[in-house]
Amino acid sequence: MMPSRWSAYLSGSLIMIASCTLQHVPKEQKIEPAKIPAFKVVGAVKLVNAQLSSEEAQIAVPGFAVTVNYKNYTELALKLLQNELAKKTPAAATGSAAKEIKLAIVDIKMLPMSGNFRCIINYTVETGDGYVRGLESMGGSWSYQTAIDSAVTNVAIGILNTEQILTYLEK
Amino acid sequence: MVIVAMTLLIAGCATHLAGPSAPNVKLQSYKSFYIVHNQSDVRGISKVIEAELALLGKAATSGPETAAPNSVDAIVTYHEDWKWDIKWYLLNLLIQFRDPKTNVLLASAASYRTSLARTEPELMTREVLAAIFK
Repeated sequence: MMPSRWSAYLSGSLIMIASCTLQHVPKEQKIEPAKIPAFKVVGAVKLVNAQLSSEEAQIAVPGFAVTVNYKNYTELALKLLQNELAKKTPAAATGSAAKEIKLAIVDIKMLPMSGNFRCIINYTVETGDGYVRGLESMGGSWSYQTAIDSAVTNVAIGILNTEQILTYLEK
Repeated sequence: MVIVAMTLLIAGCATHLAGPSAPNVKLQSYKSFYIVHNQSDVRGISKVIEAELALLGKAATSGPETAAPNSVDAIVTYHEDWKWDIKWYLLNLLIQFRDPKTNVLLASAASYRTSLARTEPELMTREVLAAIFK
């Protein structure tokens, strides 16, 4: 029969592994200038967080139960977008403007690989002139946190690499 | 040591199925699908998805992205990762259903199976589709 000390270790380990629920708050990463094409912004642009749900969603990471908040993640992507727009026109990203970009991160999946993680984010972007598009970004790293952060950063990069959106900003 | 052994054991036979993230979409009523073939897909996963959708009574075709018709109810995209351990096995399969006009994600699910929990691509595809169409 297993000694009681071993039983305690075993039970403790199981409980520890099973109850490892973590919330990942994304960290802001810098966008490399080379990843953003040349573009102009004419007039002010209102950025809208279109993710209405502020519930914590669980994503699958082996060994952990990681929760993410799509609304907060969308907010970070919008902040990165705002930073890039502000580089073009200081007053480009404001609360009230004739132009509008709505963004919602709608899905985050983590694909574990050999020694690293690939995070896949799906998001919906909508411009004030009626253009709606579902896009996807990815981020990879040996740490699942960095993989998520990279994928969120790539949301902003993806928006600014979409021809129809750049055309809208330049109108 | 026990913890390390248990972690290795769990990591060796891990399997996980992540369900859809857009519960408001009723994919059960959708009838026709087009699977966009990944250029990196050399093992025919697009054809496996096509066959498994047919088993569910759905009309499914596959081909390159450029040939995707607007007339289908949804476009299907996927990500697959394979790993070598004595022979190649499917490690990750993520299947996504999208609006044919806007590319907006309607539903997605993923399956992750490590070496000791490996199964045939057909069964892995079936479990992912089951999670989406449940």
